[in-house]
Amino acid sequence: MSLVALAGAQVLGFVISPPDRDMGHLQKIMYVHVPAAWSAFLAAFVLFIFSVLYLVRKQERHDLLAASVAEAGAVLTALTLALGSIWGRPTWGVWWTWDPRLTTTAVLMLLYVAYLALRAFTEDPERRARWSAAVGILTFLDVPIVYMSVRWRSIHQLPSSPATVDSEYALGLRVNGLAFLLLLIYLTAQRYHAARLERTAEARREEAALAHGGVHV
Amino acid sequence: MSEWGFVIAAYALTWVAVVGYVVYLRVRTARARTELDTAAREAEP
Repeated sequence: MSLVALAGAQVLGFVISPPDRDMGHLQKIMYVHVPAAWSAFLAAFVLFIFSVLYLVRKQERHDLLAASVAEAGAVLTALTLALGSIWGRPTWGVWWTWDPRLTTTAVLMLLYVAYLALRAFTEDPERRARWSAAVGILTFLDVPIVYMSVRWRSIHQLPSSPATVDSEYALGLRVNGLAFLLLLIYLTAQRYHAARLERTAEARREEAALAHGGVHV
Repeated sequence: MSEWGFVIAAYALTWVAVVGYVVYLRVRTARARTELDTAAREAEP
């Protein structure tokens, strides 16, 4: 359903939005770039919430939910950077520049990657959950910096939102924002489902090993 | 590349990323389900 919503929202954005006075049809990239960025930031916020919940309550589901939303957040941040690059080439004349907004978003990407790498290379589940919760909190701390970075001698425009764009573009932006929100929920739920199955299988294998008289190390 | 070329590249990339990740999740879920079935069989007395 979220994929259908995404397709519908993009068609709407294409059909109803007239070309921009300065950027022409390139403006249509806004309907994927901006919602992708919003979802990536929202994913970092949700990661922060579940990381704090894990550290407070020590419940495995909070750890798995944090890991699930972090993976979706990493995909959406990578997409945001790539789409920004595609938009930047014809408007700024470069694919990449060490601008404050671009650099802080790249740092967000690196933090997501560090979070996922830490989980992949830490074997002890309790230690993995605790350390990654700390990195999860750190990851979210970059989001306000990304938000504020456009005010620091950046060539990036100020943040686009339905309140700052012309009404002819606001509806498309709202609808695409909603579609990306549904997409984030869907991706996180799917990843969480896979993580639960993996964890259950791991527990069954341990039970089987104990029942057969020993644990294979 | 024309204006439309960049627009089409952006939308195509979005779909490649989204569909690619969804396929990856489906494969991972199916593999986890198979592992769970195998583990359940191993746990049988």
